[in-house]
Amino acid sequence: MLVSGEAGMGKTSLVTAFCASVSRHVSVLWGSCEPLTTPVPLGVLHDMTTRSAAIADCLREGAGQHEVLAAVLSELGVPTVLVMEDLHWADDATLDLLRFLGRRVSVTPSVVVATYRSDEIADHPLQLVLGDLATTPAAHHVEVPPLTRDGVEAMTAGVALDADRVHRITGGNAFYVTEVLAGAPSWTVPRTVADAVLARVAKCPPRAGALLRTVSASPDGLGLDLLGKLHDGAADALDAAAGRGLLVARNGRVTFRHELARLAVYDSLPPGQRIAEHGRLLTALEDTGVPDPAALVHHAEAAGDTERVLRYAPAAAQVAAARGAHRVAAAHYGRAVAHADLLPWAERANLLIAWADQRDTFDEPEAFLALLRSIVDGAKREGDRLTEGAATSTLAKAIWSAGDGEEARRTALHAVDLLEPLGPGPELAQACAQLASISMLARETPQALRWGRRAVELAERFDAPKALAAALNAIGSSQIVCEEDIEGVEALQRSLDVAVRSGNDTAAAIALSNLGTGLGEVRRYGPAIRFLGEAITFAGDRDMDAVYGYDHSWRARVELETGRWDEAADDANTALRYRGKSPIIPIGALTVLARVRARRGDPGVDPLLDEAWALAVRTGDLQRLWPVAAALAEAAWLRGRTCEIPALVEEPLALARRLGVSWAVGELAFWAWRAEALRDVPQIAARPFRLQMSGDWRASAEAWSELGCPYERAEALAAGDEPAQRIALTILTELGASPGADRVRARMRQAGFSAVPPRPRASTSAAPAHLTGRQLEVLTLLGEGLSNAAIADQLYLSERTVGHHVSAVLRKLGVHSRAEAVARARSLGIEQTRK
Amino acid sequence: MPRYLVQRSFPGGIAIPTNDQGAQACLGVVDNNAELGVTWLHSYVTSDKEQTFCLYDGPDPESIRTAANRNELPVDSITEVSVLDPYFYREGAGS
Repeated sequence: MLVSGEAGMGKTSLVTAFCASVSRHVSVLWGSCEPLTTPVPLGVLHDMTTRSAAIADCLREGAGQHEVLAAVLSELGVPTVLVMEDLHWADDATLDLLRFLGRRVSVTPSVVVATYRSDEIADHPLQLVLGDLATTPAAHHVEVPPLTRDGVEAMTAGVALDADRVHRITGGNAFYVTEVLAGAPSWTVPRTVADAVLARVAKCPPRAGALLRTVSASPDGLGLDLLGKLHDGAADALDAAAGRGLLVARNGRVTFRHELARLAVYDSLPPGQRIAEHGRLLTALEDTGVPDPAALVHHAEAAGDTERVLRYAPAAAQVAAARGAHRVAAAHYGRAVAHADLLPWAERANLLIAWADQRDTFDEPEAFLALLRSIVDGAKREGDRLTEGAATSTLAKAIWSAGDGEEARRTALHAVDLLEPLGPGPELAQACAQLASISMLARETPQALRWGRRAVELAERFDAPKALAAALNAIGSSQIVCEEDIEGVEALQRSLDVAVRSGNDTAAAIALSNLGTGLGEVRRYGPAIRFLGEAITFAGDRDMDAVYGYDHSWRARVELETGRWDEAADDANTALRYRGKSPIIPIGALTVLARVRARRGDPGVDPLLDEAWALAVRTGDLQRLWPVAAALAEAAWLRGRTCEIPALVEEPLALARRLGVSWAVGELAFWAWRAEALRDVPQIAARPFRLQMSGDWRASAEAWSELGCPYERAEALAAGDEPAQRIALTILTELGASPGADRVRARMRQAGFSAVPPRPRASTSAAPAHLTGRQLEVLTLLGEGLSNAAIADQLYLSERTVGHHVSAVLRKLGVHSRAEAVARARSLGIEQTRK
Repeated sequence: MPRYLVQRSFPGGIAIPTNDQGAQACLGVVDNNAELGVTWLHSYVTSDKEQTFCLYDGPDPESIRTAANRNELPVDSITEVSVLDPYFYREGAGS
């Protein structure tokens, strides 16, 4: 439930009244965000700790972000109203919490109420979260409007004020009206809200006024004891102010009743007095036992105390970073950097690097690259090769993310060159790991392995888990996709292990993802599907949208290649919902969707492939270009435009051959071969493709069958003798591959075969007993009394595969013997007549 | 939203009774379609009732197929089409 409205419209009053009305039946957890220039990360939860032990424990023990979010969600297991106020002041971690809860609250018996100022969120990260949540079924929105003239009248009843005039001047702003009423009956209606508030303040005794000015300098309020230390007679002054409705005291803290009132008082302070107030608060807070670094930074900055800003900002940043509030942490570091000109380079470099580290998670690419380049230049000027090298390595990754793979690799290599002469160390480990990753992504296998192994050795020696996880990932992925070496799985699982143990969720998600996509790329579908499922769950639990979308696009590809086209289209469409998170998502998803349509003869193929191709060309990477090129070739083939094929596959094939990726070479060379544009069959082409190009369609079909690719199997059989073509036709028909089936039919008629089965009519989507086409074939042959070996011969399968099919048939028909199966089939009338 | 022409075959002929049962069947189809964002505009039936050509508005071919599955209707082919009307072309019309 999203409650928006301008400042002073009465959002808090509305939500408070709502909670009061239901508090007898549900528990209420209430938290607010504060207008600090440096918000306390997840500060919204601090108020809830008194009512929730689970949340208090998590925050106290410094649990990771994921644990905290899970703890909050668990509180919603019993009917609860959880209020998050003033989200326009929220830090990243709080916004993550809102998104997390918003996506999951509909399955709990609870309600999350979030309020924000609709007029203060232009260009604000909150808008992205609101956009995300707008599509969930559980999201409702209420905009609190200004009071109507009648509403104002109701409030001014019994007071000697002209309701019309009040409504006109206040614009229906509830807070303003309240202020006006408080000043009634004697004076004219003040022209602004601030005037109304200040008029009220002017009526307070001097001690109360002084108290108000101090409290106004602290947006998140002040503790009662602190106030007592700063002001004599604080208790009486507080009563006077509270009695006039300006301050409230709750849980030992004193705040203004409304933020507009605080601003009115604060803005009325002359600059010198403002600085003095902040200075006093700063000293007083320092004297307390456990000052909050974020508050200290806030006051130090406002008091112009550079030295203290430098002292406290890094600590505040670390707290924020640990809570996942990266924007806040970056703001703290940025503040420190702004004051750091007179610091020695070494300290300034640390601040700059920490700042860049935080900005990595959210910054605009241009600005981020500029920052990194400035760090590199600064380090170079100072002769600090260690920082220069480390920053160059980070720069390489940023360049890769911005889309320039070649430049990224050169930069990464340069980083290693800078660091090598300085001797082994964690920075060199990280630089080698970065180079290995970029090489792996470019499918430059020897480089990836060489630098990866170096990085592993260094990372283990110097205890650098981030570099270790990245290096193992680069090694494992390269081994799987380029060498088809299943040892790669071990390396990736080790990467996952390291990542999990060091609390590195990003690296863990990528390890799981690469296990699934790597195995998928070499057509080991069983384990690929398993790992993709785990990857999707892991990323989904943590709202890691980019990885989540990418994993879906890959699962779609696996489903396409194993003949489950409805599921493939579904997963592709799911992936496309996240296409804005990374261009590699639509490249894969659009291609899969286009291939499903092309194979079925459905419309809407070209626009998808055109877009996918444009995106793929921009990356220049083989693993993006190859599937799109293959899809374009297939679409051309199914339309009979064979002459277009060679131009489509020529360059990607050359790239694949240079990099030695056998499945890419196989698929692309196969299309060139079909278009009669291939001079010789490449030896490194993957086996099923190589067999077919060499003319051995029978072995090719069997190889495809072993892998579990029904469409490719049918295409291989279609190049065979009459019985093979008939089986191909059955498979293609069952898959719904109309264009492919039509081609086979046409060839059969041309060859003069008798009784070519026409296009099937009224093919129901579920055959009786849900037997697949292949199982029907097996069943028919069972009916003719053939043994498994004989059936295997007839259908060009292995005997073991036939055995599996027979078991499946028995299971589906609910019988225990072949004889029973045949009898049951006859009685159900589902035997195929063989022609 | 794209428009699609769907071709279907019914060996033995399609038969929709012109009574309550028939009306229910048609409305059931409309409901299933609506869930997927698919709108059945109208259909043309051959005299022997063995083939129909059905016009739909829908987001993509996959929704058309899913709707067809739910309604237990066969799909021979899907083609994307747009309207061409002889009276659209007029002397002096358009710019």
